[in-house]
Amino acid sequence: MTDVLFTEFRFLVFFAAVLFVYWSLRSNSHRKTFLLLASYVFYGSWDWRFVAMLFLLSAGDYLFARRIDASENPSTRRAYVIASITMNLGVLGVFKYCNFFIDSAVSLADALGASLSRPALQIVLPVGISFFTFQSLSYTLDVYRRQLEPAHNLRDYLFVASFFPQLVAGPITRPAFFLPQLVDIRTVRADEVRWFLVMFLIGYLKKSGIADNIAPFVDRVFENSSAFDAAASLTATWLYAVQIYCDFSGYSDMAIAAAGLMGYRLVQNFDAPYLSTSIQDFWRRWHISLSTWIRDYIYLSLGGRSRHRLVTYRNLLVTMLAGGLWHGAAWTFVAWGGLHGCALIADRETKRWLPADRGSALRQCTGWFLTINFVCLAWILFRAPSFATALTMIERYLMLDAGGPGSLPSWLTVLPPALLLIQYAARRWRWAEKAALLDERGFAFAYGAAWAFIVALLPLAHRPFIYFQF
Amino acid sequence: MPRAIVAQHWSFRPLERLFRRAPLLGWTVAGFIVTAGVLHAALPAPLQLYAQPRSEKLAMLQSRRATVNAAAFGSSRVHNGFDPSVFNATLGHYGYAMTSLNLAIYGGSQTEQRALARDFAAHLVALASPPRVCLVLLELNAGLNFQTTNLFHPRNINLYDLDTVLFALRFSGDSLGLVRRFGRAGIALASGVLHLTNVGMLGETLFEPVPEAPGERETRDALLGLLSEDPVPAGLAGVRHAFEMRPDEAAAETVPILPGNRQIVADIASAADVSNLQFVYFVTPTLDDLMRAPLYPDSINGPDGPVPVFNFALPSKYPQLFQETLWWDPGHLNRAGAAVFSRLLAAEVGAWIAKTPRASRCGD
Repeated sequence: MTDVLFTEFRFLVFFAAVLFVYWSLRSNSHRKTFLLLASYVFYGSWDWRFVAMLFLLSAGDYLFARRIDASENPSTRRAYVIASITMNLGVLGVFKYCNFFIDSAVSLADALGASLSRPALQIVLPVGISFFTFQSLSYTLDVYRRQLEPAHNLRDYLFVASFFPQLVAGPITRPAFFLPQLVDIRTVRADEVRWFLVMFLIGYLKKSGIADNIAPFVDRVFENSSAFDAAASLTATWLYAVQIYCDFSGYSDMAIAAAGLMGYRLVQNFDAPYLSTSIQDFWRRWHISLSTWIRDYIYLSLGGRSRHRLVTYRNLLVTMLAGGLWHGAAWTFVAWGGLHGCALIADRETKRWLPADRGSALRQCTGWFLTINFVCLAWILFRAPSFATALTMIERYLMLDAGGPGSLPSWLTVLPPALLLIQYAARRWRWAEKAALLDERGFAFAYGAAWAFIVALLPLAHRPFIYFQF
Repeated sequence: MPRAIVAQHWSFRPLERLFRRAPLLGWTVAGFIVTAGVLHAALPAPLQLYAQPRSEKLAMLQSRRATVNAAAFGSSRVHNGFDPSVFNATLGHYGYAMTSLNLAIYGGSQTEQRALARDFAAHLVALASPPRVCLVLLELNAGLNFQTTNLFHPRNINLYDLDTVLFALRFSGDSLGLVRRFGRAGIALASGVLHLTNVGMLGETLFEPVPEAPGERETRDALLGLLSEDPVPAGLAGVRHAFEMRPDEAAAETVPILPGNRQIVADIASAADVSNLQFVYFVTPTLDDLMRAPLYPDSINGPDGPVPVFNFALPSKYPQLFQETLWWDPGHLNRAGAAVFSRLLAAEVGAWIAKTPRASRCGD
């Protein structure tokens, strides 16, 4: 078995087999052990060597947390939590950021006139490393802050750290949220099963039906930006906004649904972020599990909201820069984080000066328009392979440059607004909830019909999930 | 493990529940089938869609439909090995004015050459002034299906309608090993299921890929669909190795003719109302033939009489083809090899037309 994606037929077979065995086991203990083994098999499908790394990291954090909890001596506790942070960030640094820092140092030396040779390091990035290291870090930090009792046994913690639905691309489900679910045997009601089936289908549609079909058009423009006209650049940027949302939130939906079908709850990760009316609102709706993580463990650790505005803004900016770097080992990601940090500061400043009438339709519409366009412009930095490409794309997006002769089919320009309208309508009139409320036969028939559509929409070449690289 | 221990740890209730809910699963399947059927009826599925190399060749045929009266079909061995301009010129010496095209495609199969040849036959009906000879040149030794790695390729899914699946099932016989027989049928059936359930078809229609630049090397007037590739070191090394290992004499191996080989001719003939459409089977050479030379009958029964088989995979009969300088790699001729092959093929076809009166009465 090679790497298994949620959208592949192999995953559906794997998951069906796991579900069958899981629900056939009588005791909670056996079920947890079985899911732990299944999770390692799932992760091992990418690379068996990294299963050992995942095990060692999890076991290390389990031991650190036990020591932290057992000790009353503040310096001992601090030493263990520092050890845990060092271990997790060290692994993340070596696998994800080593080449980035070396390249940056060499480039800086070049710029200063010194000549450094560039070592050739062949480091393979373990899939999902950013997710499970952050998840594991939150465990020791929460135990250190006395906000969480440590896991009762190693098996339970290994299970939490490796639970396969959320292992490789989140949501980052903190042990504080997940560990209590391990105490009792899990159950699922029939209506919940339906809801999770709908959720899985919606996630699959977003990922395979929309994101993967859009991706080739986005790639064409971003890989050869100078050849396309301004309208194509605008369209490609909007399409990328749709692609990254559908890709990531689709994966999250499938992960939440897969966990739900086994009786476990994962945290919500997206809440229609492109309907946000401010940047602050956007970060409450986009990648919620990460934004709350960096808020709780970076922003608040730096002091959070201070009486001195400038200190608060510094904390905000540092947090967002770290968030940008988390997404990828490149300066474009750091710049993306910085840009969002500046926007959050501007948002706060604006709110200080504007009257408090936040409910007016005009203000909501203006806020939405400014937010969505800022987010799209920032996505250019996120997607572009270099700052030069990003600059070209931004100029075209703002219609400051007519661009080259290349174009995209005009209907693609209408697609992102149309999808946004559909999402608005689906939320307003609760389409998914209504589908789950159909009578049994009606639901079964409609579910089959929906899959027929999705199968017809499948892209015929599998693409990896965008967020796997993070 | 004793049953009591199994019962202690294992419950059969989920399985029982699943069986109780089986009718609901039936409703899901029904919903899927009904919707897939409606979509299948609504979605366009001409050969040009979803398959760029095929659509390029069909576009070439379309642009020359007023004059073309012969075409060669098959796999990459024909794509690289059939030079229409040499073929036309050689047959011209025999007094037959031919305008032929190379409509073979890399990775082409029996199922695909059948589909393309049917399209070609349909085009012949539209000829302004019927020529003396109308020729369909088919590769006898093309594979049946696409490779399994291409199962989810639109070019595969688009092709395997029910008719094509049934056609593919006729490429079976006792002479084939069990694995090969069932493997062939399995791939055809799987492709048929993908076709009937429209896998990817709606996506390919809505998000139609922006076409790449057309294969200019193949479509220039002088080449007429021939793919002329520059040599690559790995290919040339393979060629050198094959000649170094060449035995004094190749071992002969009889290859069976399968029902599908006969049916393809009937299928193409029935696709268009063109009387005296002539079929020619040919066996393309590879350097494997230096070790094992395949033996075929001289002709195969077709609906309107015998279809000749020209077997170029015999080093002893066609030594001029088995020269190291004529090969691009061990499986494909180079441009010079294509000229030699096409000249030989034209000579055989010309001699055959001369002694077969019905062959030179296209459209009568």
